[in-house]
Amino acid sequence: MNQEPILKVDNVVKRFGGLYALRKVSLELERGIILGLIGPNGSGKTTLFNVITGAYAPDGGTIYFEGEDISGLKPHKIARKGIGRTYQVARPFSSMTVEENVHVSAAFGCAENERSGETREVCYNALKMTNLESKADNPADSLTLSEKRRLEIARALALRSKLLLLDETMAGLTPTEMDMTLEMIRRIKSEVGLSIIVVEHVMRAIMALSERIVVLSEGEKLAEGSPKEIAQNPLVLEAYLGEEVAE
Amino acid sequence: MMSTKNLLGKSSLIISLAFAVVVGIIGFMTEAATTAYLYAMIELLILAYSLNIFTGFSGYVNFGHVIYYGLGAYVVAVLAFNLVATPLPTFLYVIAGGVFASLAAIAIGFPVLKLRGDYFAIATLGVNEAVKVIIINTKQLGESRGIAILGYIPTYDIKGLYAMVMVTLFAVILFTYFVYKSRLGYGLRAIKDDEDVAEAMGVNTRRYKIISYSLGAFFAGVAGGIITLLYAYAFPDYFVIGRTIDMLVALVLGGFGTILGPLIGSVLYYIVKDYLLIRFPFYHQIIFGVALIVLILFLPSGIVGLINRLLMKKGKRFRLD
Repeated sequence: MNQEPILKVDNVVKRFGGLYALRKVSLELERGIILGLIGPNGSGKTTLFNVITGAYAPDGGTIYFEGEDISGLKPHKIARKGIGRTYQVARPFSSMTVEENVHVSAAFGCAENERSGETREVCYNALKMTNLESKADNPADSLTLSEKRRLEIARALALRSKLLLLDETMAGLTPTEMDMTLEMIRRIKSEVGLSIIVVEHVMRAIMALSERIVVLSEGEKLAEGSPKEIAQNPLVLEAYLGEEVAE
Repeated sequence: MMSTKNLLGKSSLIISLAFAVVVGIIGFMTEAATTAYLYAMIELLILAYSLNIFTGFSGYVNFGHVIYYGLGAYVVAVLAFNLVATPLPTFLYVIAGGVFASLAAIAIGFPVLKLRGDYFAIATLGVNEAVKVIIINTKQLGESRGIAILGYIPTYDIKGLYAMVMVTLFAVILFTYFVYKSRLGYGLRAIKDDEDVAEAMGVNTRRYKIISYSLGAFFAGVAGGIITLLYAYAFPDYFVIGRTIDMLVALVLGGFGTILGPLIGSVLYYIVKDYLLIRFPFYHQIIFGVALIVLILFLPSGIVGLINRLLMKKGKRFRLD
């Protein structure tokens, strides 16, 4: 087994004008691990996703994916190296059918899929893993919220991602849908052997999924540890609930 | 939710080609005046299809498409003028016009396509005027008089030129179909829906925009090249922005980014506009303007979109492309 971390974020800085969204954030992700990323609103979780996927270029620091420096590369190049993502507000290609949505990332994703025979199979597998096969020919617009979220995961799978960044996949789901999604993410992880970073506000979900948790607060890494350690960390309680409660 | 299938990708292609064959035959059998009437319609069709390849599929509104038509026209005139001693077959001049237009599109698209959405649309207005002003002020291009090539190469041959635009129309329809079905087509449609997400799914958005912009310019350049042969003249009025508006309206009317849309839209637009011009010589533009506003308000996805909605209501499992 390759011991090198699949993702290494090293002292990454991102500012918007004078406002620091990320101040020297570092983290490492081992292969096959689900890492939870939590923090109050505005703590830089989504910004970190945007920097990792190339939507923003970092203003400092380096990001290594499978040992290779990817900081500042264009998003499509990073996607093709195998980093897939979902969005906080689901953003399917709304004029396309479900299958066409997945087809885009299958056709443009990892270079291995470029032989056209495989594209169909990749699409089919991605839809199957996310329980969307029966919806393949439906317009993406007509899906429910939970289906749209699954479609985003299917798209990221069709990229043949090695690293999956899930941005609040559970938000707005009913408890039943949430259990289904949790179960699905675990299954995908074990079947495909993905590494996953999960940003989530729903604590039940993050505690159940994550093997390790990183806490961001105001653009800085506040704490890191197992779900249990994090739940008892006074700094984390303070960041979330304020000083008095923590004491 | 009803499941839909776009079974008609191929059918749309066949309908379009069948239409082209019928119009083509009529154009050859009638007298020259009708052929000329149809010629102008076919030209609009080519232009609308060529604009569709970029604007229709990628969703980037382009107000400057006519420059590639104008550049194609000038290339043919310049070649005819300079090769008068050793003339080549005229279709080679026309192809050269298309190639030059598509190279110019790469050069112009490279900086301008860095802009997105509305900013791009505004920039194309500026590019259009800039190109026109450069041409009007270039001595070698005859300044505002243009270049007359009467007697330099065979011109005014309406039936021969009609054959040329028909071949171009077939080519651009087939090409549209292949783009629609290809990886390029998927990439462009993804850009149209959400450019950031398209990037995150591995689409090299900038490259695909430039490729389709340049491919569309090729066919516009060819159409411009042929018009020079018809009028024996290349002059700055070829760059008039009204022609781009004609193409855009035809596209909106028929349905952006489809195979049948440019066809339905152009034919309808051409016939109705011509009819109104004859019937109401003074008010036709007002009538047309109002009709257009109503159409865009109620049919944002054009006639093809309307047909698809009706098909869906009737519970049919397919839609037009």
